[in-house]
This record gives sequence, C-alpha cells and structure tokens, in this order.
Amino acid sequence: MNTQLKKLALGLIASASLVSYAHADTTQPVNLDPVGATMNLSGSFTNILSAAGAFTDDYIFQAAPAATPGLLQFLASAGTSVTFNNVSLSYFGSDPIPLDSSSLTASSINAIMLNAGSGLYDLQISGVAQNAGANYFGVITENFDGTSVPVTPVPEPDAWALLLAGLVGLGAVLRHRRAT
Amino acid sequence: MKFALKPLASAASLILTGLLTMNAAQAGSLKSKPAAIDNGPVSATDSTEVALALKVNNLADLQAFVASTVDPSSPNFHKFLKPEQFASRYGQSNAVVHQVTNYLQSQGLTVTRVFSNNLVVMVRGTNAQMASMFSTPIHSFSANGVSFQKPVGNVTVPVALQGVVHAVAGLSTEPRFESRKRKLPAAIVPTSTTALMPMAGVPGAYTVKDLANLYNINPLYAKGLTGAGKTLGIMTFASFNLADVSTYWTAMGQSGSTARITVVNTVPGSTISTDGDDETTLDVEQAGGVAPGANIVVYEAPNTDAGAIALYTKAITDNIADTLSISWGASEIYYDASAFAAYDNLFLQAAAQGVPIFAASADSGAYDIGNAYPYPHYSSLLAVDFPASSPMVLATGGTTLPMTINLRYGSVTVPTERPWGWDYLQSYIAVNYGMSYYYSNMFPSGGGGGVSVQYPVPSYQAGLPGVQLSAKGQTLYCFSNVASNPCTPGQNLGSLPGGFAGRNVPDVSLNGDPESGYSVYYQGNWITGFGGTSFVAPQLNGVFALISQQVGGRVGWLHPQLYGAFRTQGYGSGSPFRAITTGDNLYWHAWNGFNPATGLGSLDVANLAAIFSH
Repeated sequence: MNTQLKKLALGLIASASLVSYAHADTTQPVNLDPVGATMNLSGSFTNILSAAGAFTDDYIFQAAPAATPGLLQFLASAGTSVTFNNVSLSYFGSDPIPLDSSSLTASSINAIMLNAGSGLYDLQISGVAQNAGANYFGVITENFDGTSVPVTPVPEPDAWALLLAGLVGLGAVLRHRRAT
Repeated sequence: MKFALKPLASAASLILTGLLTMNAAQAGSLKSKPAAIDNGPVSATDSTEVALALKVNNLADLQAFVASTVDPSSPNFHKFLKPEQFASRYGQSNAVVHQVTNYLQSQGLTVTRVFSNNLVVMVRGTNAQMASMFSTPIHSFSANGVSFQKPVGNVTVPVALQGVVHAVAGLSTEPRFESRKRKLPAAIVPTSTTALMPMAGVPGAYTVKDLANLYNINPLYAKGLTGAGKTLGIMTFASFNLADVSTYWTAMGQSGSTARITVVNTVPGSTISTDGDDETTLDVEQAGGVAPGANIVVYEAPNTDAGAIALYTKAITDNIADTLSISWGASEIYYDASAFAAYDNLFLQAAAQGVPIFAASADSGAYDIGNAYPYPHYSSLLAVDFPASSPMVLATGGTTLPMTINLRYGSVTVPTERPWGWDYLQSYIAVNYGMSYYYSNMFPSGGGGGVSVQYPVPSYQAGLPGVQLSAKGQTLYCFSNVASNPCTPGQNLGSLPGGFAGRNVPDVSLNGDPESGYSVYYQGNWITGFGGTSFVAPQLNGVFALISQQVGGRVGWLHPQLYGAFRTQGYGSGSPFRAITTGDNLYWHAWNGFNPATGLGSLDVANLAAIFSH
C-alpha cells in the first residue's frame, strides 16, 4: 500500500471512529402508566444527546397485558438541533412489525399500530443531532377506548430543556440554602 | 451432560433453566442479585437426601403401549399394567439399578430407597459429598422467612451415571410449588354474601351439592354411583385436619366418617408442612364430597424437588389410587428438559396403569409467573403451569358462572359461564379504585391457560380448530425494582419463543372463580369466596372415581378419549362438553370451539360418563 492509500485508510478509520464516537445511541425502558380511571396507558421518553452525529435509540415498552388489543400511538417532537430520519417498531429482539400508519418529518413522528397484542415492544427512532445537548421528546400511548386516535400534547423540546434547566437551578438554590 | 431440577423463584434461577434464551453475561450479572439472600456455603456435614430419576427403558414402546390402552380398536384397550409389569418392561433392570446403587455407595452415600418401578433412587449424604458428586457448590439461602439450600453452579451428573440418570432432584430444598387456590381481595368481596357459611345456590358459597346441580352429576348419583370400591388419590405438599373434612361432609348430608381416608407420607421421617393446609383440606373435601363412597389416599411430601419426585413416584407406583389429582404447580419455564423427562416418565407409568392425573392449570390467567414477576414492575409474560402442561396430565381450568355481584359501589353482572378472568371487573375497579389497585391486587387472576413452549402440540390436539401458537413478543423485562424479586430496570431476563406450536392448556374447565366460588370448612370455620383451579382438579378426581365405578375398572389416559369424543360430538346434543363462547382468561379468548382459555369447555358429567359406558 502506498503512502497516499495509507493516509486514506487511516483517514477513513479516523473518520469512522469519529462518527462512531458521535453516536449517542440509547436504550431506555418506558413505563406506560394508567391514565386516570381508564384502562388507557401513557408513558414519555426523552433523550438529550451527548454528542453530535447520527443516533439510533430504542425505547422498550410493554403493551398492556389485556385480552383486547390496544391502539398504540407514538408521538415524538425534535428540538431545533435534531432531525429525525426513521421510526420503526418491533417485538423486543425480533424483526420489525409493520406500522399501520406513520408520519415522519424531520421534526416530528406520529405513528400508529392498531391491534397491538400484549407483549414487549421496541420503538426505534433514528436521526441526526447537530450538536451535543440536542434533544427530543416523545410519548407512547395505548388506547382501549376504540379506534379513535388519542391526542396527546407533546411538550416542545425547547420547553423540556427549559424545564430541565429550571429544575437544575432550583436544585442549586436548595443546595445553597442548606449550605448556609 | 447436565441433569438438574432447577431452583425457582428468582430472576437468577429463571435464567438458569435454559428455557429462556439469554447470554452468559446477563445470566452472570443476575446471579449476584437473586431475590433470596445468599448466606454462603451450607454446612458441609449436614445431610441431605436427593432423588435420582432414571431413564425409562424403551420409551417408544411405552408410549405406543399407552396409546393402545385407550384405542378401542386395540386388543390392549383398557388393559392396564400392574406396577411390577411396568417395572419389568419399562423400568431399568435390576442389574442396572444395582450398578447405580453400588456406585453411589462407593462414593460414601447411603441409598435410602429404590422405588419398585426401578426408575427412582433416593440417596442420602452430606452436603460436602453431594457438592463433590454433582460438581457444584451448595449455598444456604433465606427468603420470606424461609431458609433453604440450593446449588449455585451447574449440576453435573458423574460420568458413571450419565447413561442412566435423567435428573437429580433435591440438591435444592427451596419450596417450589404453589397451591392453586385464590381468595377475594377486599374491593371485590360481595356485599351480599358476607355470611361465612355454605349457602345452596349462592355464587361464592357453592358446595359439592351445587357442583352436582351445575354440571349434571346428579344422574350418576341417581344410578347409585358414589365411587364405592374405587380409590382416589390426592397428591399434596401440606397436611390437613381430618375434623375439618368430617364437618364439611356432614354438612353436605354425607357420612362424616374419615375412616375411608389414608394418609401417606411419601418421604418417611420428613415433616409435612402446614403451609398450604387449606389446599389439602379443600382437595379432600371436594374430591371426597363428589365421590362420597370412594376411598381416599392423601399422599403428602415436603415441598421440595426430592419431595415432588417421591410424591409422584409413590402415589403412582403404589397403584392403589384409580385416579389422582394435584392442585400444586409451578410455571413450566422453571423446569429444564431433563426434569420434564423425569416427570413424564412417571406420568406415562400412571397412564400405563390406567390412572388419569388431574392437575390445576393455575390461577394467573394467561400469565403464569405474573405473581412472582408482577406487572408493571416486570413485563407480563404469557406462560403455562406444570404439571398441567404435560401432555399426559389432564389440565383443569377455571370458569366464572353467571351471576350478579353486588359490590360496594355498584353491581357487576356475568351473563353466561365464561373463562375466569378478572378483567370483567376491570372497569368497576378502574372507576372506583384506580387501575393501580387492579394491577396490585387483582392481576393476574384467572383460569390458567395458554400455549406450552416446552411440549409440542400433542396428536390429540393436532389440527383441532382453535388450538393456538405461542404469542410473539414474550420477553421478561425489568421496568422497575420490586422488593419481592429485585431487578435492575432495563434488565432483560430472557424471551420465550413466539409462534411455537405447543400443547395448549387447559383441557377442560369447571367453575373456579372465587366470585362464583365455594365454601370450605377450614380450621373450625366456614370460609366463602374461595376459588381457583385448585377446586377443579379434585372435583374431576371425584367425578372420575364415579365414572370408574360405573366402568368397573379404570378409565386410563383421558386425552385421546375426551378429544376423540369432542371431534365426534362437538357441542351437539348429548355431548359431554358445554361451549364457553365469550370472555377470556386475560389474554386468550373463548369461542365456540377449543380455546386456551377453557379448553374443550365445561362439562355435562352425565354425558361424560356415557362415553365411558361402552
């Protein structure tokens, strides 16, 4: 291998390493909790990406242990520095399951699976973060009220970040008060 | 080669069974966080007794013979073996057994018993000797106030025994088996049946007399059938009080004499626990109440691996009982292949001798481990119970009978008999108590049923409409820690295969819902609102004692006979089966055919007896 090729190979390796390093993949369990006095369930997830670059995140959740299949809806909203490029659903550790509808834009996801039987599922979301600290937020709902699609408000990611910042600030104030 | 009955009731032990698929790293990480507290190595000098289950001799021939005994076209039809004939044909030879016992004695162990079927050898030795022989450290554990020991490594049978020993049972003394009875949580105790006494015709306070009315047993009594001349056997892991049973029978207008009861400790010298004695009490009351003329042998054993093997072996090899039932079990995912083989050999022996075995299909609906791994702390896992899932054992499921339940904040009506599954109370609970109460106190509760992922679909179920494959997406996963069985959120505890064509359970069902349940006389008091598939197994035990009397012999392996009748008669006039067409057991739905919520349905016992009358 000549010097130029060696440099190219090293460069590719280095760049591959950088891309790999930039991945902020995460796997998180998502608890779906009962909504009020209904059998419907809802749970939220968020990810504040630790580095710029492509990411593929997995959110593991349990569809309700019920005899009647539920309607699963997945909503996600990207922060200003995140671009979504894929969403898929599978049984945990298994092949993808076709979604009954899926609306994917760079900044939002709205996907539905009708007739979801009890089981453990893996919601996979892919995209690109422009910088560390970029974030997105999502909600998984399971509806047993019929075929109507639940409408769940999704906080704007920036508002989520603002909330986090507020909590951090509040914690700092409390620590300061204890110290004094 | 490894042979072991695996320990139970912890995330770590679940992994070790090998039924759940997972990687070594996961298993290793779990071993350090079991639910039980590891108190370190056991005393090396304390002694323990284990059972070695030997391989059956000529298994294929045994299976063919058993099938022929229930084939009306076979010359073997209803011609059953005596235990000594079974031992001669299918047990290991005396020479092989001597080789085994000689080897054990050469290792310093004491052979305490060789069962006459030549398939089980009991041996005693110190913990140090056992640990050395089976190449595993043995530790002491405690959990929920109970102390026990179990191996913490892989159990390996010595090379000298590997050709003949199927399984080793007893290195673990952890209580394995749960009784399949269920009582009502406070929120769903009816306001209208608070009187603690049996009340004819009142759901929740039913007796064996109501059972006879509900499932048409009375025509058998009218013919004079009482089970006289027959013996039914109850297999159990707890003691009971004869006086309770006597009082119950007397209240039913039957003889209160307990002279027809024989109690056998299948592990001589052992102490039989009182934990679960309400189970044994109801078993004897129900079975003996349905068959008031039958003799009863209550086989008891300690609730341990070795105890279970001894229990089945003694009850079957004695060959005194014409029918046998057990209302204790554990999820089949806790066992490994060698354990299944060891038990199934015994069940085949029972079938060869003409003895049907009834086992409760459990009370957690479609989610058999849901109490040990409670949702939503863990994902829910569709699973079935053993021994009910064995193709040689008749799995008895549970239904809910029609009724209107008057509760504190309103009433709930069940219009027709349906699979027992407390999701019919879910809306009431959600509105009045919240879903958290439902999941914490009532879920999962229902008639055990579903698809085995251990046993392939048996021939008697093959091609039967309604027989299901195992469901997809069945992974046991930790979402949040729970004190009773700690785990790490995000921890994957393993998956069961989806799409597996496995044995479906239950086979048949009778009322088992505590809401439409039974009265039991226990410790000098009447208890109402008692239920569970625990009732159904001894009830059918009693029913088949009646039928055996009618037949004038034994009825043999029931599955081909019952499924054969169903394929011929369906739910038509004169059929033994009553269709359960609506409802579910929390996952599997009933319909006008076989289903894993109720099996072939509930029974018309008079019609059932008719299929054995020719």
